[in-house]
This record gives sequence, structure tokens and C-alpha cells, in this order.
Amino acid sequence: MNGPAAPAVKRTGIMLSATRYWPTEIWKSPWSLPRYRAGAAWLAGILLGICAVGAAAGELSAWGGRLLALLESTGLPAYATAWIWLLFKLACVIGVIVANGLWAVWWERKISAHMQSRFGPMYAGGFHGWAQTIFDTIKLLLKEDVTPAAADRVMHALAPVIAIAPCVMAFAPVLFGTDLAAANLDIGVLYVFAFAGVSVIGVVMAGWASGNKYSLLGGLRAAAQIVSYELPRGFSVVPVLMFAGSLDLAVIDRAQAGYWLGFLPRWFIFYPVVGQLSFLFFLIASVAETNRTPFDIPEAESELVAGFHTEFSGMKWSLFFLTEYGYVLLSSFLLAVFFLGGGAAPLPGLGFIPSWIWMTGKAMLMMFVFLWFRWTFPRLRVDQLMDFNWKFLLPWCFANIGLAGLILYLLGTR
Amino acid sequence: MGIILDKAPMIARPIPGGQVLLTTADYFIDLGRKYSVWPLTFGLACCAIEMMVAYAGRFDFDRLGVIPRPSPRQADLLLIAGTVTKKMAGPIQEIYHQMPEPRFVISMGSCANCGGPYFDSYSVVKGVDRIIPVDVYIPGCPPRPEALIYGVLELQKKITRMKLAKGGGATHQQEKGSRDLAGSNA
Amino acid sequence: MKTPATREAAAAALLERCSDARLAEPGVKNYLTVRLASPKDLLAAARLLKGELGFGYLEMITAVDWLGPMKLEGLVSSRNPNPFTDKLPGPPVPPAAGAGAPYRPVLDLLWSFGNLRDGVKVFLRLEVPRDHPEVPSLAGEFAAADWQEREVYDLLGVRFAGHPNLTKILTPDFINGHPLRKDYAHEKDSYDGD
Repeated sequence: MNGPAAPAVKRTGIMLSATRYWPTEIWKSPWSLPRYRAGAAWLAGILLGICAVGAAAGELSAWGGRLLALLESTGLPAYATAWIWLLFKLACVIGVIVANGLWAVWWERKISAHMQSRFGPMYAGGFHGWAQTIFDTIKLLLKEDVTPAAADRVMHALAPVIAIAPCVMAFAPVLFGTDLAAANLDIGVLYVFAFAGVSVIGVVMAGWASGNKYSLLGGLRAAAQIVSYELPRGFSVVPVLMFAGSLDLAVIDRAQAGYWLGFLPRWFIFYPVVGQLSFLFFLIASVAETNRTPFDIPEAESELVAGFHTEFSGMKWSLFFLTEYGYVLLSSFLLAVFFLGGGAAPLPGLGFIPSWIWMTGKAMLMMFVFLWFRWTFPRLRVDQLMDFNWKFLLPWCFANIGLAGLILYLLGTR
Repeated sequence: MGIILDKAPMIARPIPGGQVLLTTADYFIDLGRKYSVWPLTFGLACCAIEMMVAYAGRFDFDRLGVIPRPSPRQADLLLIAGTVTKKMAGPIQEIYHQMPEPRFVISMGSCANCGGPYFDSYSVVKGVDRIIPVDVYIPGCPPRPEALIYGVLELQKKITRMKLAKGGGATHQQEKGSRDLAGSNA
Repeated sequence: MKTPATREAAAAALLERCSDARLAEPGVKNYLTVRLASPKDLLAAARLLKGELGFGYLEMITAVDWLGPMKLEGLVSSRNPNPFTDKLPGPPVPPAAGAGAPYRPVLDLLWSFGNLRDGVKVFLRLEVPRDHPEVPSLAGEFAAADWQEREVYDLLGVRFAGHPNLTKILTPDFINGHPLRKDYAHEKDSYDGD
């Protein structure tokens, strides 16, 4: 303590925390900081841009109808029109899945980084690493494709395809906005769950065909986990189906239109107790279905190297990743349709913004919850995972169905 | 594309604008590889502590697109962070051969560069470059995370000089083809 | 409830049970250090420590090779590590024989036992001849002794009679001999090169 005593600084101005003050000598308020204003301008610009694009585009489903009418007016035979239209819709869905892969990986890296007070990708492409995933894809495309000597060559090559094909097919009846779906199916919910369950065959195949003990263990764990969590995932939406009275996603979407008391939306998540429980169970089961932390025991890095995709390199491996993020997107859209009112606006008077923007926004919110889970919860053990499913989740799903029946009986609506 | 050019380098010449096409392709491919260097989660000794710090908050490797992968099949970079003992030499060679091309090796710290303080030891390999080809050497005992980041930046510079056509290759592997290297001397 | 083990009680019990054992001077730091007279006493001492005195924790086993003094030629490179100066000291010189360095052809083994409940630590020492170093294994009493004894065997060549699997644990298979022995001669292997 030989140096001169520090001059006593009189602290005035806004207190940021117990020990930090806003330096009012330099900036009067946060808004006098140019960076603050620029950030706010960016944010406002992005939001307004989304609204403007939405308002200009209007309902995309109407555009689809116009496009189909144009196709039919060209005078092609009916079967050709049907096939072209089918391929067009397929391309759209695959485009959604691939674009989602590019977007979600970047977003996840940014979210994880900011949750750990890092920045995440910053240099690739210039602005906040926006091109990170594109560059990753370029690299992965040009990476050597290794098939281990111990592997079953045919199955090893086939496994990623079998994993991703049901993912693409499961997107057929998914609503991207009111009436905006590739296929209008009466049994949409059943169809989605059925195809989402098929992917596990690809995962088990990958584990088996790699000829690697870690892969095999990962594949078998995936089989046990996904098959187990199919049950609570299916049963947790039964109350929703009872309220809506249909398996058709479009009907479920429309059943949530309108408001109670003029402001509270009639979304299924706002049904007392039943809605919230259903939402929670479906969310947990969806996280487990997509093999994401805290349920990522099939690819537990500390135990199984990389689980079922240990022996996959380059594009084969990225197909598995694309599948995983595709299922995350699928679950997000399903959560939005089942519980968050689908394309309905959250408040009356906001109906001028088209439904696909609401739908995408809600799905992105749910996807954020998925990523948030991943970087918050520690991984469960295998036995804890199974106990949680069979001894807690499934019984409560049944209880929830009973509760939903009680509510319907008391209301006497059906 | 690289394989085609390896086997028949003459096909690019008669195509009009073929060389320009190649250069443009080179640019984008190198950009992709440069910003997507995924190292293997692999630490050997005390340098691994500095490596972990480089991934974490203050230094944040993820800014450069460097994110660790647990399996060598998905890794591009083998970061030799620490002392390479003779007993570990075999597994390191095996990991290196498990990695798909193009693959890079950074030797981090004195021990991995040349044996360091264990030069006279009976049990330490005197430099990891005696068993696998190395792209970038980082001196230090252990190097600070800044030094490691500088090493990765140098590797990125090296990657930008890679060419699809052989001959102008930047890395040892590109020029020689590390699959052909007689790696096993144990 | 047992009475708490103390340093004095442990010393008295050990000296009574093991004939010709004596307190080692100097000990390991200030801890109780007992020098056993022959390998025959070791098992009895270990059982006494574990069963009656509550020393359930075998901390470590190690040994010192007292052959000497060493000749460092061929072991340490004599080249100057810094080519820009010649004022650096050369390789270290081993101390001459004397009170601090009582060179003799023995391996001096050391066991360390801890009583975690009472916070007492006991060291046992035992000298065995370098030509035929053999002591009984403690692997039957302490599971921790298994790998520790393998390590001492690997690096110093002490044979532990009764060990279930006395094989190399640290050095690679192609290294012959026990590297921490003073007369270890390193054979060049494929990783040594020029």
C-alpha cells in the first residue's frame, strides 16, 4: 500500500449492479451509445422486415393454389400434372429440411456459445459467422468417405439413407401455416408418429453395420430409448386429439382459433392443467425421441466415443445430423400445431400477419427450447432414462388422458 | 473431383476456362476447409489443459469454426497436445490412420515437437513428427492458448494454399499422400 | 468403538509384533517410519495395521535403488541446450558417497499406510538385495496394492510373491529391463532413431 490513495470517485447515475455503475460522465444513458442504437435498429429492421415480407407474401397456401392452377392450365395430362406437383412439393419439403440443417446448426452453436459466455462462430462469412454451416458442408462434402474394414459395406452405406428417408416422409402432413402442408391427410398425427419411429431402424443398422462395439452399443441404446419414448409421445397428445376430435393436423390447427374473454387464445396449452401437462410430456418425449441432451445416451461422448455414428465420416455422417435436426424441426412444428395454436395469432388484432409467420415463429421458439435444454441439463444414465419413462412419464400420461375425459364430460361438449 | 484430377490431370486443360473453374473451385473449397477445422477431442498431457482453455470462454476456438469432435472419423485435425510416450505412439498412429483425408496435424508444445525436457528419457518419442507428418509446430511449455490460436491461424493460411490439382499442394499429406506413407515403424 | 489409533500406539504395536523392527532414523518427514528387518514380517505388519489399528488405506508403494554413484555418460546428452551461451552448467553431478548418500547394493522399499478416521500415517521401510529382490505381495490385503506393485515391478524389478498378475504396467512391451534401476542400459528401439 505504498502508492497514492485512489481518489474517491463520486458515483452518480444508473446503477447496473451492486458494484458497477453506468458511466454517466461518458454516456448519458444506454441509448446515447452508438452501438446500442445500431443494435436496436438492426433488431427492429429484422422484425419489421419479417412482417413486411409476410404482409407482402400473404398466405403462401393461396400462392400454392395459384401455382397449381397455372400448372393445370398448361394442358398437360392429369397424371403428369400430379407428378410434377408431387415432385415440386417434395423439393419444397427437402429444401425446408436442408435449410433447417444449415440454420439450426449455426443457431445452436451461437446459443451454446452465448450460454457459456463465448461468441460462437464469428469469422466464417464475415458477419457473425453466418456462413459457418455452409463452409462446414463444403468441407464435409469433400471429406474422404471411410468405410471400415470390419463394416458391412452395403448396410453401412444404406443406414444414413434409411435414417433420413422417413424424416422427409414424416414432413408430408406437417403444417407450415394454416392449410399450408404438402399433403392433407385425415390421419396426419398417426402418419407423422409412424414415420418418425421408422428412423430408428437406420440408427440400429448404422450401429450394427459399423463393426464397432461403441457403435453397436449406441445403436442398441437408441433402439431401446426411441421405442420406449414412442409411447408417452403418442399418449401425451391424446388429450389434444380428444379436444379437437380429429387426427387431422389442419382440423387441430383450426380448433384453436378464437379467444376466451376476448384476449386469451383458445390454444390447447391454455386448457387448465391438462393442456400444460400434455405440453410438458410431449416436449420431454420429443427431446428423447430426437436423441438430444439430456437424453442423448445413444451418442454419449464420454461413454461411447460418438455412439452409432462413430464410424461414419463426411456426408454419411452429416446425413445423420440432418436427420437429427430435421426431427427437431418436426417436433417444433408439431408442438406449435398441437399446443400453441398453429397459425393463429396470439392476440386479437394481429391477424394481418400471415399464419406461416406465426407458425414458423412458434416453431422457432420451440426449437430454441430444445437447444436451451441441450445446453442446460446434464445427461441421464441409461437406467434413469428408462425409469423416468416407464415409471413416471407413461403413468402420468394415462392420468392426463383421464383428466381430459373428465373435463370433456363436465363441459358436456362431446 | 480431386480423385479425377489425380488420375487424369490433363482433362482440365482442353476444357475452355477449365483452369479458371479450378481456381474458383479451389477458392471456395479452401474457404470451407479453412473455417471448418474440427480437431479430435484428444489430450495427452499438461498441454491439453491449455487446449481446453482455448475452447472455453475467454479464447473461444469456436469463433474460428474450430469445434471438437469425439470420433476420429469426423475430425480434420489431430492436435497432439502433450508428451508422446512410446506406449502411446501406436495408438496415435492408429488414430491418424483412422482420420479421413484431408487431415492435418498440429504438434503442440516442446514435448510433442522434439521430446522437450524428456529428450533423454527411455520412454518418450523425440518428436511426434517421427511417427506422423506434422503441419504446424507450436513451441512453448506449454504454449499459451493465444499461441495455439496462432497455430490454428497458420494452419488456415496453409489450407488456403491447397489445390485440387497436385503439385501446388500446401500440406505434406497433399504432396505425398499420407495414405501411402509407411507409417508403422513400431 | 475402537480407541483412536495414535502414532505411539501404532509404533508400540508394530515394534512388538515384528521382531527386530526398529524406528527408522531419519523417518519420512515427521511421520512414524518403521524399518522392518526381513520380508517375512511384512504381511504380519500389514495385517496388524489393517485389522487392528484401522489403517485401511494403502497410499503408495515405491522403492529406491541405492546402487551408486551413477555415471551419467550416455544417459544425459552433454550438448548445451542453449547454443547462444556457454555459461550454462553442464549435466548435474551425482553426490559422492557419504552420510547423505549411503550407496549400497540394495533396493529400499517403502509402503505408506493411512488411517483416514484418525488422520495418522505410517511408513514401512524394507531393504532387499538388488540381486534377488523378493517380498510378499499385499494384493490379498489391499486391492490398491495390485497396480502399485505392478508399477514397482515394472520400473525396479522387485518380485512380489503371491501377486495375481505381476506383469508390466507402464513401459511398452519392447522395453527390456527395469528403467529406474541404476544399472539399466537402454537398448535403442525403433522410436529412438539417430
